[in-house]
Amino acid sequence: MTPTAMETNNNIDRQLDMLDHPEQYSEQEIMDAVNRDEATREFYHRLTQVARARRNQRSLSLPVDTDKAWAQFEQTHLSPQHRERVLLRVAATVLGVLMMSGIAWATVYTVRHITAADSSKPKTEKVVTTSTSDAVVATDGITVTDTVVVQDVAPVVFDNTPLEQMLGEMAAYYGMTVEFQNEEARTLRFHFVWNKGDGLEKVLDNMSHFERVTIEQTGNRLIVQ
Amino acid sequence: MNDKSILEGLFRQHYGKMIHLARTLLHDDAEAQDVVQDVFARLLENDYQMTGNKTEAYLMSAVRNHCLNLIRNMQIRERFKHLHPLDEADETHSIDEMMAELEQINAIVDAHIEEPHKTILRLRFDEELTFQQIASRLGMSVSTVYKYLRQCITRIKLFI
Repeated sequence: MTPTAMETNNNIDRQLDMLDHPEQYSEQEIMDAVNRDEATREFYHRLTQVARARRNQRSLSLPVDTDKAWAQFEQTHLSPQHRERVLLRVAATVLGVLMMSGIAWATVYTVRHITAADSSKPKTEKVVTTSTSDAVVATDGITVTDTVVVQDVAPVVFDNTPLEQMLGEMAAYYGMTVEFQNEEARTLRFHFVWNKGDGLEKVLDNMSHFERVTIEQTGNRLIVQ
Repeated sequence: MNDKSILEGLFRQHYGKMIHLARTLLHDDAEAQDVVQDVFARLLENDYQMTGNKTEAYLMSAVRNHCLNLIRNMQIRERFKHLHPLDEADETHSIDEMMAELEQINAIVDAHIEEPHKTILRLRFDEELTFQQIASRLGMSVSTVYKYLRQCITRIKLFI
């Protein structure tokens, strides 16, 4: 049933009243007041536009101190101390990559060595990848091809991506399953840079900055609350 | 982006527009400044090569994405309190379209909103008074303030 003009005004006034005391209402009550009907939804949308327009106007009167901002940026991101920290981080990453490469090289070398020592036996092919740590298992008589599939360590940028999709990809990578206890969280969208080189624990730690969801690891399950 | 002077050039060239966008989208000036700093920090970290005329579009999109992410991660109550959109579907315009629309709203307020409606808008949105405080200041009831605000919104809508 379409609300009367008076009902619509009352619903909008309730929305405005809530704006003065949002702490007195639950999030559900706020959502209900905004989405009560088309009129309340549209009113809130217009109100947000006006708020944004006024911030836009106010911004024009605020000082823009580019010199100060650049000095702050320089101090925070380009100072020798910061460069030192970045260099240490890069060094640690390079060391990590070198160790990974070392394992892969050792794997290929070991298997080739065994093969060369006994080349009279039947030959089959196997691809050694750096992502499986037990690839060193070298059965007698196996010839290793030169193909070494290097693990993809490039960061994955999730840009405005639903949490369900994001966690699905990560869970598959780390061999986990995902359980949504908070159904609403499935469609929440986030921007997140996933560095595959990071362990799951570190990734979850980075994701803990998402204020609206909590993700916990229990065994091989990622539980979204 | 190894050359510091190139980065500084980009920073100085685009900072004004970037901070204006961040201040438009966020309610906290310090947070807006942090957003712009973060965008350049990521540029530095990821060693992006900025070439051609897409630089500004890239930087502005990065600012908007960063701001929307911050808003998205706020509690509903916080978003509502500061009149940020609660629905993702409301963010459909390009940055230029959005800015043009906001400028149009400001022009409508200047040209077509009368008193005391205009003062109510100013007190609520520029001085961030509560409706109760506005009512006290203007010597009217809160429900009258609500009525004037409803009329404002209806009038603005007429001209868009």
